[in-house]
Amino acid sequence: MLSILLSLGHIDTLMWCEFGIIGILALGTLALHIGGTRAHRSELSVTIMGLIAIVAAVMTDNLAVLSLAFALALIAASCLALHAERAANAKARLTIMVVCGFAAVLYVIGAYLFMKLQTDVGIGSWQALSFSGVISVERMSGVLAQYALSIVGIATLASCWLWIRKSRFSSFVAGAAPMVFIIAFLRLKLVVDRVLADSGAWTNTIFLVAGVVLVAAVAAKMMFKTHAHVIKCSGVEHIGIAVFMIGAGFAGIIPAILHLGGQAVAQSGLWHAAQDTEIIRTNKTLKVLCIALYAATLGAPFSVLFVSQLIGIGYALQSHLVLGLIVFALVGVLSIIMVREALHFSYDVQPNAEPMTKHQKVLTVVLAMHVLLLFGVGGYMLTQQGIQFAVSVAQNVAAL
Amino acid sequence: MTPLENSLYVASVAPVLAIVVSTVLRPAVSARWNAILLALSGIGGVVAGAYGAVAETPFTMAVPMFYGMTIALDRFSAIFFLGISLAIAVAGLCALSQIGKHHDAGNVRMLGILGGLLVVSLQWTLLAGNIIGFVTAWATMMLAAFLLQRIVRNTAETTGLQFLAIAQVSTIAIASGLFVLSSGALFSDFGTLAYVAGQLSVTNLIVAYGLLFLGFAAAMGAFPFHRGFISAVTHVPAHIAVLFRGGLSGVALYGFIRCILFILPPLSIWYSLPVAVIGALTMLCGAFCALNEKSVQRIVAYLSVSSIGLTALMVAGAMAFQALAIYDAMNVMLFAAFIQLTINVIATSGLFLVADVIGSDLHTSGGLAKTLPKFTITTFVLLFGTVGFPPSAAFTSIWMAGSTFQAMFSSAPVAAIALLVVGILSIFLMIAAILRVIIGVFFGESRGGVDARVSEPSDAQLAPIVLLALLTFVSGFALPQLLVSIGADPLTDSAGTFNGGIVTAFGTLRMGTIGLLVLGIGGVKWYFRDSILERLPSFETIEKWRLSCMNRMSFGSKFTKLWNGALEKLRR
Repeated sequence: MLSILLSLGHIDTLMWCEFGIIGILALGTLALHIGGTRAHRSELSVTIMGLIAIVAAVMTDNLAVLSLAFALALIAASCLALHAERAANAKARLTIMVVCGFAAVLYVIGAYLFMKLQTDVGIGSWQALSFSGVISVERMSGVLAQYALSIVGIATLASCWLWIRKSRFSSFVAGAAPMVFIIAFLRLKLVVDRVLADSGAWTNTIFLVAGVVLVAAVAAKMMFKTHAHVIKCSGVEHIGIAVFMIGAGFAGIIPAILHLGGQAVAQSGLWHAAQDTEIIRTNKTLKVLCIALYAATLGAPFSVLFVSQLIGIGYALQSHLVLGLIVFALVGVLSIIMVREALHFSYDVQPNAEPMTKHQKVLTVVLAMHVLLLFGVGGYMLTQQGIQFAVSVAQNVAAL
Repeated sequence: MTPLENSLYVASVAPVLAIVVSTVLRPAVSARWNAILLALSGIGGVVAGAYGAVAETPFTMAVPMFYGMTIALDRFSAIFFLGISLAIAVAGLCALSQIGKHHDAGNVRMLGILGGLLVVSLQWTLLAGNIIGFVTAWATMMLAAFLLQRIVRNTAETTGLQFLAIAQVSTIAIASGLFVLSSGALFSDFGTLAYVAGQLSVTNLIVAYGLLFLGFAAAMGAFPFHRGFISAVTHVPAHIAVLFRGGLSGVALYGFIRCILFILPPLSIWYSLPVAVIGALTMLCGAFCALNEKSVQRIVAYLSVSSIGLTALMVAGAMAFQALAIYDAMNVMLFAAFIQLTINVIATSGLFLVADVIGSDLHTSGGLAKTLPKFTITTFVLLFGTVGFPPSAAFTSIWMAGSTFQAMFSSAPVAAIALLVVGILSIFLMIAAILRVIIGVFFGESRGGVDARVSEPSDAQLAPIVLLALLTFVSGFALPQLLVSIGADPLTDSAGTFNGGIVTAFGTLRMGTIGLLVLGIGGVKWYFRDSILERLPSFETIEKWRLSCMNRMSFGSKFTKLWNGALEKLRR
């Protein structure tokens, strides 16, 4: 049963990379969760639920499992909102309703696919929904519905972001979830392209438009937001950029994957920082780490996001000059807003000379790990071996 | 290893050491070492630049580890490397004279680290031989510059974001422009880029050119980006201001000229029009604003903006002559632009230090000539050198450009007359601005008791100012000859024969004669300064004249009135 649900027989390089990142983020989250003074059992259980959903999404090549994993992650997010906002809060209730509504939409699409897809093994079987099984489908409606799943998924992921609350769980899920789900949608897109036997012209267009819309919408929203809201918006921005890169064409997949990995680490770090803003403002080491984290997020050299944005948007400019310029300009605007936010972190408070507490030490290690990962991998990706590795990962995905 | 390699290693290792020293040692100790290492890096760079300029073949070296990244120092980049290293050496010198002065103003350790990072990135921008290397170095440079001016402010205010916006515009535009030119070959070197750019469609070429121009103009502090530049330059210590003025503007000019000469295919004469327009606007705007400012530091900064405009005009001239295939004239214009940039960096560096000593605005100072005579003479030399009085090289530069522009009168009389009017008006305004500073700060009586507080600076403080003034003074004779003697012509392989040497020699000769005359008269007048002081109008009288003139010419308020009137009519 497990081997049907999860394609354990096929774990490629990209999956190992995803596992690596998820593992590091989970370790950091758990270390701070246990080391912190605000350990809640409910948060821990939600984190584990999110972890299961994300691991399932990485390993599956089955649409139904992907849909399930997505829904599980959404439920986890709504539990979090419930926990953070208290059930009595009308806004929290609304949030949960909307999130559950999205989950329901995903289920409906999943069910439609389950009922309608005609494959070699018949209607209504698990195999019918596997990425490899769907290749024999001839009915266009099934393929389109499948593709709709990914689009609704991206939209859900993006909008769900804006409801994330300050929590250790947020640090983990904000990092891992977009990376995993968008890579899953990327695999799905490649399957759809193969089924339709075209070069991905129209699927690319949808990704392109989705990317530009997300970045533009978030730029408009971010101008009037501060603190944790900015971090949320930054997450959506990076989702938008990665989606845009995927839509730019096959070569865009390399920077897109790089970008998703980088944003996973950066978002996780930023959420950890947002949890302990006051501690960071009074400690010099933490302050420097936090500024480095912000710098990496807004694409300072040599962070992963700098390399991926440079290569991704540079490539996109060849085929989509105007859209590429718009996205590049918006990225510039967003980075200015991020800097404005980072300034609030770094000034006006005198550093505290007292020795570090246990929690501060753990936080220092976790943030340093994030910063090192971001700049180390970024530097590595500019080397001969790094570029070869990125190309091999992209080829791996394409050879699905 | 060759002398070129040795000096290049010294130039590039010294700022890295400066970063390490600033990180490891105590701020009080590291500040001195940091300044020494910066100066050493600058001197190494000057030597490397001189060797590179006379070398038969360009120096190239693959950067180990990084994919496709190469270091390249050809004749063209070597000349700019020389100029910018001179600015770095001056900055080191200025930093030495200012040790201990900015302990309260900001974090000395971070100032040292980021200053070193800025120098490293400046050098790498000039040495980068491919797109990714150039863009990475450029982004690092802009980030370091932004953080430097933020650290000194040390508040959560968002005033420094103006500079960040400019830095972002510049980085994004340059990166996009180069990417469009590369047609997807993002890791290619500049040689390949030039080949690929030759195959581009006209639309893409226009877009790429526009983006590159926007990016480099923003970094240079050209109109309308000058406000961010001014804000940055006036909020940092003098030695960092020197790096901003000399480094950022120099690298931006280098990048733009490299793209025009070596990367883009031959462009039509129309491409030089936006450069000329922006150059003229920058020159006028800088001169106008300098006349309206109260702070000495801001006046100096605006004077340098005006010089940036003049440099841009010269580059536009070079582009026009390139399009017309008059390569000798193109070379003269490029040399003139380079000389203008270098001498303005030297003179304004000195003036930034002067402003640091005076530390006042015009309305609360006065009468410093009596109490600080040595300082006053030095400042006069620097001020007059900035606006192009002989015998500074700024005069030579204007002379060279002006004599070359004569050719335009027959072919494009309207453009030539327009440029002449703009040039004369700007120079008139600039001279008015420096006369206002001279009368306001040095002559008359004290208006706020500042002269009582300001004492003659110590020898350590005065030494770099005097040295810069001397450099300004002899630059007119030395700089053009130096450029010609190191064999810097022709700049490009296709440039044909260059008679710049003769032109500069003539220019220098005439300039020298006029300069000596002016100096002689000035010296005699100075000897009888009491009588001059009596004849000079007071600062208050000058301010009255200025305000009445400005009120008559306030285009901004007139435009606003017209605009509001039009809106009102529309509403009706």
